[in-house]
This record gives sequence, structure tokens and C-alpha cells, in this order.
Amino acid sequence: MQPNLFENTPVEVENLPQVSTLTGQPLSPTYLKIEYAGSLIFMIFLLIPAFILPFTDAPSVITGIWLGVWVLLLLTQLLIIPRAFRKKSYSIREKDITYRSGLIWQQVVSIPFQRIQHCEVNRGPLDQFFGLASLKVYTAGGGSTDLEIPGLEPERANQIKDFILNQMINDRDE
Amino acid sequence: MTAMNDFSLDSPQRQSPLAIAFILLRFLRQAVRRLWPLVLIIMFRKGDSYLAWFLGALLVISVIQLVLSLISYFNYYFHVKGNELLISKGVLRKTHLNIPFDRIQTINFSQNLLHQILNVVSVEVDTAGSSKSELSIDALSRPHAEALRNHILRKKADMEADQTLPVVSQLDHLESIVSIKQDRATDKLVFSMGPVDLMKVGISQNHIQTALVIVGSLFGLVQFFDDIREDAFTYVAEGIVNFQMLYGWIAFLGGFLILMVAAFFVSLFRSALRYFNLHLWQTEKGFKIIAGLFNRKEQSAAHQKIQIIRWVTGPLKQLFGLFTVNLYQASSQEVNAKRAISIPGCYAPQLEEILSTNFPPESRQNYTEHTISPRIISRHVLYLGIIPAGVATGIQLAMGDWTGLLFLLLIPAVWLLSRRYQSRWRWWINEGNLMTRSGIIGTTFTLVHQYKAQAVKVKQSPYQRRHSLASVDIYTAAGHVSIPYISLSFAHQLRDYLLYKAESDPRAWM
Repeated sequence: MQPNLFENTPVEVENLPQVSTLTGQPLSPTYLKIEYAGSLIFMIFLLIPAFILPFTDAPSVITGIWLGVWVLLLLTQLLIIPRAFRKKSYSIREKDITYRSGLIWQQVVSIPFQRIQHCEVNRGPLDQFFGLASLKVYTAGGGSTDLEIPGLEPERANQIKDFILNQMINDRDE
Repeated sequence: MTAMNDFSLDSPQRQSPLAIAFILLRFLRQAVRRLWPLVLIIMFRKGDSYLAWFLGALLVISVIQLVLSLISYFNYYFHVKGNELLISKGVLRKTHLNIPFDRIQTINFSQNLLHQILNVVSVEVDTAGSSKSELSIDALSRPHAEALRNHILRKKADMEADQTLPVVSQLDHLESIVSIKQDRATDKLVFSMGPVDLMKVGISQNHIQTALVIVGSLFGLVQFFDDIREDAFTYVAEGIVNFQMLYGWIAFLGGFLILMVAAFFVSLFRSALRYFNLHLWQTEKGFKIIAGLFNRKEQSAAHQKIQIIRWVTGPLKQLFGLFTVNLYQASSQEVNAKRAISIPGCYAPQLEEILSTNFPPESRQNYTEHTISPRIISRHVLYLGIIPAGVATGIQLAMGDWTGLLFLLLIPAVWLLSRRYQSRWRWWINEGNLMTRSGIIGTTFTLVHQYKAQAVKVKQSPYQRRHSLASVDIYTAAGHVSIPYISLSFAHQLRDYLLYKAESDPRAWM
């Protein structure tokens, strides 16, 4: 028999709102394109040595190995990106925000609105090109728990930001 | 209040002119650090004129830097306006910083030897969040610094009182104003460390850690001499290598012994320097600790800002009945062991007193005890034992060296250590607290208020998923507490409960 978390239960732990039963909101499908584009740019950069190497004294085997590794990396990226994308989701409750991510090592981070220092909507160059935005949530004490939810429609990101700021103010007033 | 009128905090002012001494000192130190390798090289290799040019260029850069920092001293103004601390600084690009008092987390004073001689303190203002608004003042006379600190703390208390409605806290706040007026009259000495206890603290340090630091810096030195490629040194080094080849294990063991003895004295010396004449006070709002021989450091921790309390004991410490207590408080930087306020040499009653201020004894009852899953052992054995030992043995065998099989001993060693790790790991939960215990040789206890959690992370590796296990990280504004390998349902319940506590507790968490 599974023992209980508490021997003297202060509250009915089972009756608390459960994060694990929440259905996660998927990120915008367009975000998959951003992931592919980002990886494409990265891969193009990795290709540069393959063009330079033939003009140096390096034996051609090295260029071959480089290209082989490059193709292998490309294949893994193509394999991982769509699968990892499907694992990313977020949920928003009245008092906290939860973000799930990770294909192999999965993690779920939950942050109560009351503990948020500030939040902002960011749009990087790729975000702007594809018409998306990301929401960044800052907590106190250095970057270890700062949370970034990418792949949101700008209206949605601003909506969430306003909601969080609103809830933060409400909580302080209570 | 009279002290405050002596210093007009509301008009722009510079630091004490003595700060110039610190600028000069810093310049000298930087110049020496930057130039001495070059000077050495030039001394050994005569007639290398381009190196001399390089040295000259470095000197010019250093002098320009000195001039810039001297100008920056004259351009650095600070003053208090309303509920903000205003700073203007910069030589070519002027910057104006506004630091609202409610963002200020702590104000610390510290004194090194020169500060003590000149009778000034350096002031560090720590803010939560972005680190660029961090402010430090090199030199300020102590009464001036105290006036500044008291003014800010008082205003901050006013602001907090305006925000928080409960009458009780208003009363508290009135009292705290009174206590600031009386200054140190209400400070209560928790303990001061005498020479015998200082000795015990030095003896019971983690000498293995010190030994590793020594080895690390020795390697750094060897690397450095290697760079110079000094013939004489190579000669000596070869001699040492030959000697080691000849005497093999004897030399190794001898070296190890010397290293451990050196480590022992180094840690003794270091703790004597750092913890000399340690005084811990309990003030109205928190703790204040002053310690150090040449570098007398004053740190303070407000109760509200303290997020995690950790106390550590080891075999030697246990012999003396000593604990080292670390207080982790909210600050802008990533909080690690180095930035925690460390109070070594506490006996059980002092530990109890420190704990009681944040966690009254009645709140530390009715704990439910939990362990972690033994499955963590097989994972440790795989990742820290079988895989590294397999790789190392494989490489050695491939090179035809049968002694490589000795690496396989790593596997049972990891198994034994990991079993001890798992069997000693405990975590306790009650209505308001979470406490953990861990350690293989030493023991570390960690205690945290559940409502101070600011993020909860539940992690699962593929192996953990197969066995319905998870690890939980509980983040606070000053570092995190990890609980590895517990059942997934516990992890979920723990998360739900911690979020519930953080979201429903009206108390300020920092």
C-alpha cells in the first residue's frame, strides 16, 4: 500500500487542484517552422568549415568526416524537433502558470503568479518573421527559475502577460 | 535621529575622498597582476625588444584606466530622493540610476585592512532581479554609511507598512522604527567565538576540499611555468618526474601525506583569518554577523529575506559537537554556498536559537518522514560506476595494460557509497515546512518554509518514467532544494501542496 504524504493530513492533499490533470495548451504550429529555421541557420554555419577545409593542407578524409557528422546531426535534428515540439505545452490556472517540456528528460515547471517579479513579451528576429512571440517570466534570485514560453501568437502572449500582471495586483490587494 | 541630520542625504554627494586610496590600490593590484608575468619573461629573456614595447603599451592602457577611474570618482554622485536612491556616474557616457527602496534587498558593510586603517567602510547595496543596478560605494565613513542605511531601511519599512494592512505588522513596524533610533541597544548577542572554538572550527574544516583546491592551484602554477618554458624549471621538473618513476607509489603516498598536512594547516589558517573574533547578533529584523582578522566583514540577514537554512556537520565536527549554519537570503545573484552567510562553530543550543527565530519550535513538529527510492542506487552504479570504469578499462586493455582491470573496483565502491547515500537520505514534511537530510560522510540538513517556494519543477528521466519515479526541485529566491527519486504520485502531491501553500499564504516571502 502506498503510504501517505502526510500522516496527519493538514488539508486533503488529494482534493487540492492538481497540476498533473491539466490539459496543456500546445504551442502555435508555426513555432515548429521557427524551430526548423533556427536549426537550419545553425546547420548552415556548421557547413562553413567544409568549404574552407579543401583549401587547406588538411587531408580530405577530415572534410569527409565533417560532412558525415553534419548529415548525422541533420538527421537527428529532423527526428527530434517535431517530437520535442509536441512535448511542449503550457497551462494557466487562476494563480499559477505551468510549462512542460523535454523529449527524453521531461520536466514540468510551475510558478505561482505571486512569486513573479515581472514578465515580458519578447519578439526575436525569427519570431517577427513568422509572426510569433515568446513570454518570459522572471522570478527573484537569479536566472535559475526564469521561465520562457516560446511559440505564442503575439495577441495570446500579451493576453497572458496582462492576465498575470492583473492577478499579481489582485493578489497584493487581497 | 541626530545622527541623520549630520549627513544631508538628499543632496548629491560623493564618496569619502579616501575612496581615491582604494582606486589607487586597485590600480596597483591590477597592474601588478597584469604585468608581472611579462616582467618575469623579460627578465629571463634579455633583449626581446618587442616584448618591452608590449609592456609599454600595457602600462599606457593601465594609466589611462587609472585616469578614467579617478575621473569616475569625481563624477560619481549619490543621494536619496523620496523613496529612491539616485546615482549618477560615468565619464564619457553618463548614467543615472534610480533604485527604488522596495527593490533593495540588503545593505552590507565590509572592511578590509585598509578600510580599518582609514576608518571607513565599503557599502554594497543588493537589489533583487537585474544585476546591473547593483551599487557599491568604495569608502564612506561609518556614521555616514549607517545614516544612509538607517534612512533607507526606515523608508522601506514605511513603504511596506503602507502596503500591508494588518494592524499587527503596523505595530511591529513602529517598534522597528524605535529600534533603529536606539540603534544597537536592542541587538542581542547570540554568540561570539573564542580562540578555542576558532581552533575547533579550523580543525574540523573539510580538509579534502582544501587539498583539492591546493592541487588545483598547483596545476595552475605548473601550467604557468610551462608557459615560460624556463630551462631550469624543466630540469627540476624532469628530476621530479624521474624520481616519481623510480619510487612510484612511495612518492605518491608521501606526496599525498604532505598534501593532507598542508591542507590541514591551510584550512586552519584560512578559517582563523575568516572567522577571527566572530560575533553573531540577533537584531530586531534579523541577524548580523561580523568576523575576520584583516578583512572584517559585516553581513546581515533579515528574517524575511532568509529563504533556506542549511546546517552541516561532519565526522570531526560531530566529535566537537559543532555545526556550520548557512543562511541563504534573497539577492540578485545566483545564490551558492559562497554567497550564503556562513556561521561556523555553532553548538546545538546556538543552532536551536538560530532555527527558532525563523522556525519556532512548535512549527517543527509532526513531521512525516519519507525516504528516496533505492532505484537511485542502480542508476548511480550505471552512470558513475559501470560506464566510466568500462571506458577506462577498455582503453587500458586496448593499450595492452592489464592493470586497467583495477578500474573495475570503481563499481563496487560506487555501489557501497550510493547505498549509504540512499539509506541516509530523508525528507520530512509537515504543515508548513520541508526538511531534508543528505550526505555520505558529513550530514547536511536543509529546512525551508513551503510558502517561500517560487517555482516547483518535476523532472523525469526515461528510467524514472518506466518506474513511476520523479525528482522534484523546489526553487526559492535564494537557491533550490532538490528531492531525488520519489514516487511520481508523491511528486505530484508535493507540487500541488507547495503551490497551494505559496498561493494561499498572505505573508511576504522576501
